[in-house]
Amino acid sequence: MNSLDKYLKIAKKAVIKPGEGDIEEKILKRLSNINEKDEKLLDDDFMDYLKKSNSRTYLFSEDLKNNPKKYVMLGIAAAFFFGMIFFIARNVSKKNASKA
Amino acid sequence: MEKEDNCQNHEDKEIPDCMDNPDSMEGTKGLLDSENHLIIKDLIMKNQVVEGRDMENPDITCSEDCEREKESGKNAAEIQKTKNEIDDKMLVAKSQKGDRAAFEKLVRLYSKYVYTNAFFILRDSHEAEDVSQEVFVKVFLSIKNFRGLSSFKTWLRKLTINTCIDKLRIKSRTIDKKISLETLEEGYEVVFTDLNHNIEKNFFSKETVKEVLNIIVNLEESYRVPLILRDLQDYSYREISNLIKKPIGTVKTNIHRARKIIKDKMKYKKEKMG
Repeated sequence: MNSLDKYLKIAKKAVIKPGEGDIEEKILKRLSNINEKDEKLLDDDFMDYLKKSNSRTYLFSEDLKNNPKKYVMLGIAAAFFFGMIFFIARNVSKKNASKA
Repeated sequence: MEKEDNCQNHEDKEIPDCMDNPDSMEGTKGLLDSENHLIIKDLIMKNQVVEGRDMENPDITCSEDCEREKESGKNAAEIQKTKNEIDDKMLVAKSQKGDRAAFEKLVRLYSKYVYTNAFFILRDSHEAEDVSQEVFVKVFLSIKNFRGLSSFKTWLRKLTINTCIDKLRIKSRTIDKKISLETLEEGYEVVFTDLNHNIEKNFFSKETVKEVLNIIVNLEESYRVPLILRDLQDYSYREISNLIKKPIGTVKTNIHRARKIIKDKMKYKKEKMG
């Protein structure tokens, strides 16, 4: 890992202190003044995001697309595992057949 | 018995209703997969964690005792992360039931996180404030529909990024690009959370990280946004490409160039200093 990566890793934990006033209080004040007009904020883009974030299928497909290598490795490991089981089972059944 | 002891030990803390009446946990039980006993035990711990979770801890020096405590840095961080996620689940569950105090706690925990993400992308404190407010209003209005398939923090972060990208799109249509290329004066204060003190001991330099952040904030938008999404937000190239509507190749090139600019500027500064 080069030094820039190290600094960027630390930078993830950085938080900016808002310059004027307390951001928490501003948000809470805003929340206490919610009215019907604010429903407009829940536009199509937001509803689409909400729908996607509530869908297991979508999240799985996204994870699959973002980490294809992980799933390929998992597939290979699973194929190897079942191959081994099949191979052992076949040998056992052959042995049993020859004994009989 | 253990439950009673815990109650006595923490009677000054804000103990959730379920401590008085375990039956009131029914709804929460459905949301969390732990056993009732564990949930109650967790709740006590959580209340302390939520109250004590410091989202902005400017004190980066650590006493010897503290360092000893944090010897297993990574493990401690992971445990803390898990605890925080459980806290969030509890707060979200309560907020979904209409508990305003729980939602306020979520606001207090994540307001600076949302503000920071917005500020890095938009490089404007007023716009970052507007976006933070907008994001929390959206969350407040829709939290009942949040199923919790991803962590609350991830959900919030993606919502913030989406809102910021929308703002940038609107801005790029209306504002002269030259304005957005003006150097941003260092008029903001950076503080750090959840520091790993071992890392700090070996190579951490608060000032260097601040310098890196300052360079990032002053990068051109086409470099800044992909770099932030990739290196600070852990988005994949594909996700960035979809979000900013640019080909993956362009995204990769821009991130590579942005990193090179940062390295060059750091190198130049080092040479100038020494």
